[in-house]
Amino acid sequence: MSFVRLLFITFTFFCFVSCESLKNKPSLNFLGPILEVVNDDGKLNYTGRVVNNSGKEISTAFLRYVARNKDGKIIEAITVPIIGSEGSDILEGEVINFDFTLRIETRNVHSKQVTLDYRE
Amino acid sequence: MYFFKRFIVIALIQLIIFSFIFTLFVFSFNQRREVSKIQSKALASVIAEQASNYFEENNGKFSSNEFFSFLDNRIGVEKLTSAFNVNPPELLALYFRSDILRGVVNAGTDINLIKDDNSPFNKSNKFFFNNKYVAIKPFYVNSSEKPYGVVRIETSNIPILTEVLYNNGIFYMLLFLILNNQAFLFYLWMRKKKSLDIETGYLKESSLGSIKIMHKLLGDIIVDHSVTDSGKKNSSNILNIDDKK
Repeated sequence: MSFVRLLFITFTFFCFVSCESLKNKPSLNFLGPILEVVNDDGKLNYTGRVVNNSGKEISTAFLRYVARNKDGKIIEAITVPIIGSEGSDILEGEVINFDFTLRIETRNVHSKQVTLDYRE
Repeated sequence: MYFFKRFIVIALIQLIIFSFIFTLFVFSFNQRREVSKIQSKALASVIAEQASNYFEENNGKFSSNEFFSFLDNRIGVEKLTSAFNVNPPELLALYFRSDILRGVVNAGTDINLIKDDNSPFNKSNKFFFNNKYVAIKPFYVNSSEKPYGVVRIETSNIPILTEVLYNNGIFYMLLFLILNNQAFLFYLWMRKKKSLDIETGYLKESSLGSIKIMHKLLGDIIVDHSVTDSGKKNSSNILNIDDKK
């Protein structure tokens, strides 16, 4: 194999091997942790904040919550729309509060997953 | 078979190199995870202290929105997570003792509201290891002996995994190349030159067989040409330079 070909393969290999994708990029994020409490009815209640760090205006954003039982089966899934001060559009740097309560029995919730879904 | 053996040896060497790099990765990951555990415990202590203050100020009345604002005013919600940098906790749970004892909620604690390490609520096995760390700290109101509730903080170890890879990825790759280079140099160093041993023989049977065939063929060719050479000598129309001399 010629030296030039070897050099080309090595260069291509180094170009493709990049860990940049592992680094978190600025986006719509939770501002601080989400507070989870048991309310007077014995149901799980969640309170938190979302901040737009994407550097752009975000048109539509949803908070998705999935609760699973001990067998890993989904027992409740909630989608909460994140509404900014100007309707569904969330301005750059805007902080929005959210609050929601589950309907299922608290003792059945084994694992939880909270994600943010949005479009720029 | 010869190439298969070589392939097996190369695969084994690569496996050893990968094992070594993986050990380094696990070591870095564990180091970073221990730091995260300490941070989670410290944060749980801070929140528990603030929860005690909140309930003392509000005479036991509780509202999640008010408590969230209380934390924001006292500490600042951003500061709660900025200390973590890589893996800030997603959930910050506040459970009351009465709810835990009645079985309304499972906080992953025992009867004394101390963290139960064997509870399945404190574990989450994914990617072949427990990727969740839970810090639990009880909080007290009005210097009572029994805790009023617990603060539970869950942190995921997955962001640490990606962070360690992000920071050390190039190092691992270079280490892989260097170790491969070293393995090749070691092979060159250890490779012995085959000495000629007349008694035992230095050729394979197959090579010897082919040489014998070639020997026979060459012998036949020589015999054939010896006949034609004698014929050539007799012919008068061929000029031989040696004869001219």
